[in-house]
Amino acid sequence: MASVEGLSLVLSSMESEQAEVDLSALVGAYSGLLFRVAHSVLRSESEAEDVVQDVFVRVLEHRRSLSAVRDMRVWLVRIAWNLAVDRRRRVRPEQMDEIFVAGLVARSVPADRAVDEARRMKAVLEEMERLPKAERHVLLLAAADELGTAEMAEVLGRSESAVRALLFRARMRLRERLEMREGRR
Amino acid sequence: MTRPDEAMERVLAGLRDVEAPVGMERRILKRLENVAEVRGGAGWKQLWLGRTGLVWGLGCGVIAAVILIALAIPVVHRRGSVAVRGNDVGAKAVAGRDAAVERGRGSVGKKEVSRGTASVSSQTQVRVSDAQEDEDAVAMSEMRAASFPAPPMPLTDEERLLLRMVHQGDSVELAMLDPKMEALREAEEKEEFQRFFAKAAVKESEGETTPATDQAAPSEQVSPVETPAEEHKREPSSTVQEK
Repeated sequence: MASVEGLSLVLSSMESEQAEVDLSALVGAYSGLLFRVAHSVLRSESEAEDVVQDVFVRVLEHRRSLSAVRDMRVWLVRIAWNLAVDRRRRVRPEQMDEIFVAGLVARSVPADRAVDEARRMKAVLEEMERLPKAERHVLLLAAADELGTAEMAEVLGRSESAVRALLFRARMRLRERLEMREGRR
Repeated sequence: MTRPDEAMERVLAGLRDVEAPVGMERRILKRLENVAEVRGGAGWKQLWLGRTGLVWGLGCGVIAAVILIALAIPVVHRRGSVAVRGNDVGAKAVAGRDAAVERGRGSVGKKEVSRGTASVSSQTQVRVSDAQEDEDAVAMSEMRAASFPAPPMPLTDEERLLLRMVHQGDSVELAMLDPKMEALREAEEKEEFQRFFAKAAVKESEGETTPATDQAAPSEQVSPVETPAEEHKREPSSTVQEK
């Protein structure tokens, strides 16, 4: 609490009158969403948290121009998305899939079934990575399930119809590939 | 729902339901606070540096000006005093000279006029005492005048001769140090040597050739093949001449 008050003091001393933004309120409101968006790309908690911190540091840097932001939510998600995609070039999400899948598998099921489920989910993640870039991005952004088509279109810089088409094709392609994979087995 | 669909939905649900780690907001706010402090501190530091730099610059300028004035005042004062002193010295010297002339005139006047009036003698005494004071003043001023190193004296004839003796072979010594000059000098010496001995050889050869011509002249007169009869005829005459 003290840190929040200190932050408010520091910010109030730095900000102009037009750019009065309560950063602590922004963090409380959007950090969860930004974390999920970043995590869908990176699939690593620590990396996703770093991305969220970087997003708010950017907000602090551009505090004077915040008044020009129309939709704060979309703007923040776009920053988080771009930072996560940029970070993904250094961090390979495949390395984190084991941990992520292990967290998804139900603990109540027997061990052999748990192993089978983990294998299937890992296959899903692998096939998602093999999707075309645009389809993969739409699918991952839609996975957050908090953004509408218009917002996703704004974040990705595409039209709404394109986003809908890409999402549909991504799901279809992923399903086909998973079925083919199952069929080969 | 097929098994791939089921797996896909579960993965997407897992991505959707992921929760932020505990304390993330606090860490974010702490980092933001640190960043804001650093930037705010940097801003204040820049401002402080700007003001302090201005103050320091002004202070340094004032100190430099004071030092310059402190250095310049004695120099200007010394120049002025030297000029004034020089003027004083000249004036005093002129005054002394005038006083001496006056004194001489006074003595001459004394001799000619044979002890003039008391007023005149008293005037001359006053002038003499003034002249003495002037001379003393001149001596004192000369003694107190700033001393400068004496200008270099010109060399005497003996010193010039000594210099010539000492520095006689400078060019040769320099040539010994410089390999090019040394090679040039050796080449000159060699050439001179060759020239000299070539002349000598020519002279020798000329010396050898001239007696041969001298000897050849009588042989032209004497016939190369003389008959014994002719020898016999000439012998008595030669013997007679010898006799």
